[in-house]
Amino acid sequence: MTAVAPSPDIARPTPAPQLRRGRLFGAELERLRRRRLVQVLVAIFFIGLVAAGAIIFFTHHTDTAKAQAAAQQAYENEQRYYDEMVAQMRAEGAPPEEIPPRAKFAGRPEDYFQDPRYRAVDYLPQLVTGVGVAWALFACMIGATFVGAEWAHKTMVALLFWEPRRLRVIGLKLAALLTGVAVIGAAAQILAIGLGDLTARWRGTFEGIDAIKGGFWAPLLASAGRGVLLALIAAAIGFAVANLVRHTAAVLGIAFVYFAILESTVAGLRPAWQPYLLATNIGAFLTRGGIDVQVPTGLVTGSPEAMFRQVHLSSARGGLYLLAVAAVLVLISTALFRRRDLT
Amino acid sequence: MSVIEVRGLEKVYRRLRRPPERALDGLDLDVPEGGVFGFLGPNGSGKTTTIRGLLGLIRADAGEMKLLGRRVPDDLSRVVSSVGALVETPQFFPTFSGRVNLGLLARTAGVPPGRVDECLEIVGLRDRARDKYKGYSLGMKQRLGIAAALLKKPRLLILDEPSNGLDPAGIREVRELLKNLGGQPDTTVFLSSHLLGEVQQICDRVAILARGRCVASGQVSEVLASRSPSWLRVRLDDLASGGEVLTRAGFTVSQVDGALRLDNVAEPAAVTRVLAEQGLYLSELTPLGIDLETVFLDLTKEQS
Repeated sequence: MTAVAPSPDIARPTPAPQLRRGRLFGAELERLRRRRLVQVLVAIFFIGLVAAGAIIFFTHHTDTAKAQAAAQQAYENEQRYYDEMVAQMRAEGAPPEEIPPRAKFAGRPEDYFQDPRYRAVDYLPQLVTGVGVAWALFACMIGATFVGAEWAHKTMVALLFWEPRRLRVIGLKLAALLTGVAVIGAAAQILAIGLGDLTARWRGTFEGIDAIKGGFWAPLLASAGRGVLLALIAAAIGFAVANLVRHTAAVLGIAFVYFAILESTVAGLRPAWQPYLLATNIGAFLTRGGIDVQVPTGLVTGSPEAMFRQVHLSSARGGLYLLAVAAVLVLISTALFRRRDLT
Repeated sequence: MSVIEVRGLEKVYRRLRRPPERALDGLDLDVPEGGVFGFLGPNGSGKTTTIRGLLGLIRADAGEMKLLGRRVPDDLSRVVSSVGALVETPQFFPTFSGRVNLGLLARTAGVPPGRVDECLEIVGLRDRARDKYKGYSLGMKQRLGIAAALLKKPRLLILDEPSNGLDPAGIREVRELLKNLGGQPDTTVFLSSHLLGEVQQICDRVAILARGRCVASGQVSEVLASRSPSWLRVRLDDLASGGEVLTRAGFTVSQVDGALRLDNVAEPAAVTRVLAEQGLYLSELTPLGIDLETVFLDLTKEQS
């Protein structure tokens, strides 16, 4: 140490600054923004999104004549194959009733047509859902690393020298995380819809959107909103579990064990519990109108209708279930954090 | 007024598959306002547990604590803005620079950004302020921790082993810094340290902990005096005869390292006189005091 220059007013008492919620929230947002891993994850996500958008853009085009010619060619090839097959069957003495009718075997030319256009009516909702799921995965990791790094580097303890009210600290950290995740998630959805819209305009079509009952754009935006909400839930779960186990990597391990082992085991051994699995509820939440799952009735013989009953999981039910899981985990981790000795 | 008051503080750590560990066993402590207060004790004596309790990081099982007149941990949030702390190794984000790390803390508490550079200047880190924390040496990390503790211009500065990892020059400069801080009006430095020589040089008062209890406290001179009075080292050619004469004259005499040790001597001149009357002439008579290290080792050995 060579340059210590004690000042005569080093510790002159001044009116102590009062801690305010807004300051801590702002500092937490700043900390989230500056974390290297958060920056890397967000960068990877957006690079992936733009790359996917570019691939989608360049793999579609509006040259339907070429596609129709290819379909006609494929149809004719199939006709030739049919003729050869029938000739061979007759030569082998096959009875006429065994020879399939031409229309059933080879179909029609339009059956071979692969529309090269980006059809907004089909693909935009898929894109929005995909972006929502992908961002939810990243948000879970960001939530875990945001608080996990605090424990790994023990900066949580240092922060408590400045704001000892633990509930406020953890609450504002979570609020900052959710704000960041929501803003980035919304930006990603806007970008995805923009890229899809651009692709549909330049290399596709909006055909069919007017025929959709209930409209197209409002449900699409609702789907995007559900994607953002799913990311918020995932971030809160990642945050809560990392705060509970005080380790970022452990969250990834727990997620792997849950989704790769536990869910498939439960689905195999206890299919009746399917409506309570996270993956099922994520599917229900993101699907417009919800999903139906087949649940065993308990009968082991009889018709499929008797052995299984169909349970409808609405989108709202799926969302509420996921929210409840996140809320319970956040409450448990917060309660333990409040009481825990920090040594 | 006491800036720190602790009464009957008890803490037992209970951990899975390990026997309970009693860290504090009815600790009483008073730290008066002003100056530098040394907080001493061997490893495991409860120093860091006490500090963690004062800062609300652990919950005591019994007893009460006050910081700047407020009960903690209940009212800690009302005084925390006047308390700076460094507990063991300072902890910051490794990929943030020193300035960014301090800036985030300053922002948390509404400390003006200019104060960050002031504190970096005070601890001699201004030139390295833009470097990442993970590139700092242990000594630089320690100094950044001290800078963080100074950000709030605290009335009470709690430092747990602030000289950890510092080179001798750094230790000397931290000593000067703490002396300077302790000399400020209305500022108290509460210093936990193993460097007893350092503590003796800069502290006005000390408390010594052993096995979770305070075994001595007060002004440094009082603690030294209460533990063991001064003694005399006497050398002469015929140690055996000298020892016999002095013992007959009522002195408490022992032989140590080729010299005589006389304890509880009220009047050193009497030693010269008694020996001269018997024709024995001394070659050395040195009054010696004990140091804080000796008192510390005596007290903590007794407790264990």
